[in-house]
Amino acid sequence: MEKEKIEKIVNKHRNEKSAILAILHEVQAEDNQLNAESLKYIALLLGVPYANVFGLATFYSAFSTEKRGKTLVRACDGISCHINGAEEVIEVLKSKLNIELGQTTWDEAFGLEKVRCLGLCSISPNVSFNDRTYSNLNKEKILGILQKVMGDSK
Amino acid sequence: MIQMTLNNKEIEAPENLTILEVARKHGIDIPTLCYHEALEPYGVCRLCIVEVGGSLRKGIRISCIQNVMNGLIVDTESERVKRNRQFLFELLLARSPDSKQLIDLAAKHGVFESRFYEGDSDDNCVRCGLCVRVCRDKIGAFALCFAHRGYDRTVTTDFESLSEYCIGCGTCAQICPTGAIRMKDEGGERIIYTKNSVVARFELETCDICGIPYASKKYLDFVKRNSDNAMAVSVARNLCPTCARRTGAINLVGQMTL
Amino acid sequence: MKIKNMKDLDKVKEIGMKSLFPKGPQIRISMSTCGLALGADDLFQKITEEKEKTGIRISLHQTGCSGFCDLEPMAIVRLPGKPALLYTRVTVESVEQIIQDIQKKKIPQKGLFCTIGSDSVTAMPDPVLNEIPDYQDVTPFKGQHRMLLENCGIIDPLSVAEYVAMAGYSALFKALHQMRPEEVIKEVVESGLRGRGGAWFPTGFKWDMASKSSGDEKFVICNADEGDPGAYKDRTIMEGNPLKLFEGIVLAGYAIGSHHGIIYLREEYHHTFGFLNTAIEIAKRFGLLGKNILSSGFNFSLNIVRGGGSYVCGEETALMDSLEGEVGDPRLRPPFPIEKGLWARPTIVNNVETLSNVPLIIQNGGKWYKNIGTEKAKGTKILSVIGNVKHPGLYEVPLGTNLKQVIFEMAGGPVNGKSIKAVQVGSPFGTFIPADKLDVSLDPEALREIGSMIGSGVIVALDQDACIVDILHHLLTFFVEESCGKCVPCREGVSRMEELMIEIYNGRAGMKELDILNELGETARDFSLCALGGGAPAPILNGIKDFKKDFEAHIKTGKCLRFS
Repeated sequence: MEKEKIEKIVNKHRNEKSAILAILHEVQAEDNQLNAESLKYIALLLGVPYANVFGLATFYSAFSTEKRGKTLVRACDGISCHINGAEEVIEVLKSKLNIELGQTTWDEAFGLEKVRCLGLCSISPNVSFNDRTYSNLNKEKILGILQKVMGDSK
Repeated sequence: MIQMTLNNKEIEAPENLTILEVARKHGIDIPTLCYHEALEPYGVCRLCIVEVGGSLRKGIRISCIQNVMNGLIVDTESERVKRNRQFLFELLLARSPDSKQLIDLAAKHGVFESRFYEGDSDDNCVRCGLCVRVCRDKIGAFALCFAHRGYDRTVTTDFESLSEYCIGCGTCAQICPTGAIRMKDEGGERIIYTKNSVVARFELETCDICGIPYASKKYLDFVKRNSDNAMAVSVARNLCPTCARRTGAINLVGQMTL
Repeated sequence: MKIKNMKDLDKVKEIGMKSLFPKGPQIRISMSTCGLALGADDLFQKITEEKEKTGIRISLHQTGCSGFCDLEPMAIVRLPGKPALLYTRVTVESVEQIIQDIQKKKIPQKGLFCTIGSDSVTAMPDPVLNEIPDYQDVTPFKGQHRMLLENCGIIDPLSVAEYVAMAGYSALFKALHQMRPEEVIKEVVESGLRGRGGAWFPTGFKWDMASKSSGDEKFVICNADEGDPGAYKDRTIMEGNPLKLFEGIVLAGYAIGSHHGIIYLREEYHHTFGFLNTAIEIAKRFGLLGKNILSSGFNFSLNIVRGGGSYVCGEETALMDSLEGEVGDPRLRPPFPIEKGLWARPTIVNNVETLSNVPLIIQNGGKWYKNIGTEKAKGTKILSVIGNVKHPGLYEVPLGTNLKQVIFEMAGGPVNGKSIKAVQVGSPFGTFIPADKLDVSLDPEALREIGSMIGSGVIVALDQDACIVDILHHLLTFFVEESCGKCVPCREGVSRMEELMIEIYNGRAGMKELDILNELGETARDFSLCALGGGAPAPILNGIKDFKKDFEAHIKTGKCLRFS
């Protein structure tokens, strides 16, 4: 991410070390990744060791040091979703996107991840495509949604 | 001072010490991996477990973080402690199967193999955190960190590449209890490395008197930056420890037979 | 406008009453995360369009969720002179008809579920309405004791006026103007309130200790990480009645002498984050947060920090490490947070549900609160009942309610004529209680006696088609993924448990492996640094003991009972 953009975000949080989680969230959201250059610059601006920032970026599931797909597909695998058929839904996602969990499609259009849990347990299984969530899913429904989303993204 | 019982012997101990410190003072060998006198107790390897009773509710405690108290009864070798400790060694050996130090330590406590051994050796790191903690809390170089979480928690440099922060002091290699992180001086170069990666490489400065390579420039700069004027002057002379001691001795005593 | 005194409060209450019980027709749409996931925004949009098209005068509001998300999208329709009507699974296609019916002063029929309350002031006898059951008499709301969830799905969560009309902020006003901090603590102690996040620690005692701790600064942390899979009660409160939570947080601050509150919010609750920030701005505008709250001279600032997606950060010491910009490694204790917590200052960490109880306790008194619940566990508990039941959802019941009653009567029992095989109470760490032992009281003491626990109140019902080995394996993968990796028993022990469980699942293991699984479980249980590693083995070890048939099927034939 460009240095000026990072500076703007860090300044917004008054260069406070304690706001590092919020800063990382914003950079991740805009840049779709937290790469080494961005993390090093953030560390420099906040006056914290690179090691700290790298540790944070790899500890928390919300962050990715590699570029994520433009559309992040998060399939919920909490216990309610699991009982109500999340496994099948996830299989459809894997096969149609042609990637494993934790991977990104070759054209960087989609990333696929498991998440636990979205807090929508009585309408499971649930899958979110960036900020849009779909619920009460099954094999057929997720297929339909995928076709629409993949068609829209072309 | 408090009164307590340690392995059936009644003893006196200062009350601000931990069970581990008191036991070691009495020559009792409680195994540890993540403990070091120079660092704050971390309490993660759990090898130092002991069985307690008396003024503490009966049970197992972590001796490196449990302070002694009046009326405390401690058994460092009860059947329960031995059994649980052996199990912990089995888990650790699976993670660090090639480490001679760990193999010897485990053998000393009756463990010679691990049911969890998978055949291919991991990085031999038991995640005790001594290297990360000493680099961060004592040296102040912040070159190492824990990355990822859970089973994949790994000791690495920032960004898993050659560390820009490492000063090449080698304290991490010295303090590592399993030999997972090592240091090698060869051909005028120092390499600090783990099984899977290189932490840092340095060209070593050579001693002005005897010519042997002895320390990285970064390390010398670090010492100069972080110490008083007298030390800085001493470092500026660019002498290896042996020659430095010798010249110091000559200055003090007048001469020295080699 | 800033609320400065009783007069202001009464004025705002009047506005709220007019808003809740308007003269003209009104529609409210549930717009929480769940409603949005099921198309509530399309519904809201369509109603707005129809309003413009027909020129009809209807007030349109948003509400939160009632906790029964599978009845969403939900709508409440108020016709002049009639009690509020609840509609479930409302479709965009039905909007035209609804608007037409309202125009003709007729009650829309499609999706009509129940009436809400007997608004005898405005209600007039109506033969049509006599056929429709009331909220309190219809499954799944029947038999609940909804005091924390009272306003969720009914009021506009961002309306201060509507919350005040429902007695909101009367507690905070009373406390700041008429009570000393010690008196607030006394009421909480008397109430017997215990932490609802899973630890069940006496809240008043914690506050009392924190108030006596010395420090130049103290913190109130609201733990809104809600990591237990299956739990969404906190999200429901935050999206349905955030002002009640804020009121509870400020009361906590006043009680212990803190002027700073932080809500540590679950990363996965994207919508809730923006929503809560809006609610904070609104509360500030009304003088309910910030400087000189309710003109009392008491200052309290509240901000929201998003978590990073880590279950272990729901543990209070890991949470504090996370707030300090570190990874979420649980700390050694002592020292305890009430002495040395966030930034080494005295800190209390309380769950959303715990804090939401406080306004009620201050308003009605600790003595009143003590009348609900059991001898040792007072008040209500919001249970999240999920799995193989007819009516999954949030059930708020007095502590001490019978588990069998909740599963079979309130949640309707299993679907499709199947039978219940087991119920896990306190997921993910609770044990699976076999079907013949479900006659147990839902309170921490009774459950501990049978080797289980109540936790945060997640209840998972499994029917005859479920396989315990599959479920236990699923739980183990969760623990392994969420372990911070700091201590050996959890990092190494629980990981090896998962490996063995995979072998067992695939028929590649035998009784020997079950013994090793037990040893691993006991080690993690007894020596882990925190409750993640310490609690993970319980459901596994009990499952091995109580569901031998499921294990035998896998060990002997490699086949899962799910597919037999």
